[in-house]
Amino acid sequence: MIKKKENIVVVIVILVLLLSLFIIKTIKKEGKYVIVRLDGEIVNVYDLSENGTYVLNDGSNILCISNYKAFLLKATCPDKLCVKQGEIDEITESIVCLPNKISIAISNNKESYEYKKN
Amino acid sequence: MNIKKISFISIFTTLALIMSYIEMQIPTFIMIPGVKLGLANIVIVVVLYKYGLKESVIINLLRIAIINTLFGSVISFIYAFIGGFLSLFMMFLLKICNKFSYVFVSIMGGISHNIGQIIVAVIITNTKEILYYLPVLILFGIISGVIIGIISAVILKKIHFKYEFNN
Repeated sequence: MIKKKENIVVVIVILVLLLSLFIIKTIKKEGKYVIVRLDGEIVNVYDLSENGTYVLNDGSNILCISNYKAFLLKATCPDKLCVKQGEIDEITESIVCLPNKISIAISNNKESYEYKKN
Repeated sequence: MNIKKISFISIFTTLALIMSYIEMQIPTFIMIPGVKLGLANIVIVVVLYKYGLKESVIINLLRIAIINTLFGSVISFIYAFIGGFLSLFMMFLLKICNKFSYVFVSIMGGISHNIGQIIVAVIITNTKEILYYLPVLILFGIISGVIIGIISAVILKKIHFKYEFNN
C-alpha cells in the first residue's frame, strides 16, 4: 500500500521529529512567569510562584496558578480542550483557547517581567 | 453541473459530515490542540481520486462550513478552513505527480493539515511557544494520515463506483 521510497521518506521524517522532540526536551525548563495573551496582545503577566485565580476576558476563561503550575479552570469554548490540557509549568508548554483567542505561555525572560512592572 | 452530479456531491458532503460527527463522539485521548483523526478526510481523499479537485473542493468547503456553523465559531472555521485546504491542495499536488501511493498522499495531507492549524493558532494568538508542539502534532498527523490513507486506499481499490463523471 505504500511504496518503499515513500516508506524511507516517512521514516526519515519521523526520525527528524524524534530528534526535535529530544532537543526540545533539553530546552525544557521551569518558567517564572505566566504570560496571558488576548487577541495577540499580552494582557497580563503573572508570577508562577504566586498562587491565584484570575478571571480572563470578562469570564471567558478562568486561569488558576497553584503550586508553580498554571492551568485553565473553566472556559466558555465548546470543546474545552484548553481546560482538558491540564497544567503547564515549563517554557515549552502553552495552553490555547482558540475560540476565545486566549493563549497562556510560560516565560523566563526579562521582557515579560518589565511588562508586569507596568 | 447536472442534477446527478449535484446529488452525488450532496451525498458525499453528508458522508463527510457524518464522519465528522462520529469523530466528535470519540473521546479525545490526547490533549494537545489540533490532534484528531480527521475521518472526514476519507471522503475528501476518495472524492479527490474518484472525481477530481473541483468536486473535493466543494465538498471540503461545505463540510467545513456546516460543521463549524453547527458546532464551532468563526475562529474554529478559519482554523479548520486553513488546515483543510492546505491539506487538500497538498494532496492534489501530490496526486497530479502520479507517483505516490494513496497512503503517502494521505500522510502528507495529514501533516499539512496540522501544520496549517498550528500556524493559524500562532498567528491569531501571537504566541510563538505553540510551535514547540509542532513535532508532536506532525507525528500524530502521520499516524492519522496512515489510518485515513489505508481506509481510503481500500475504498478506492475495492469499491466499484458505478457512476463516473467526465473530468
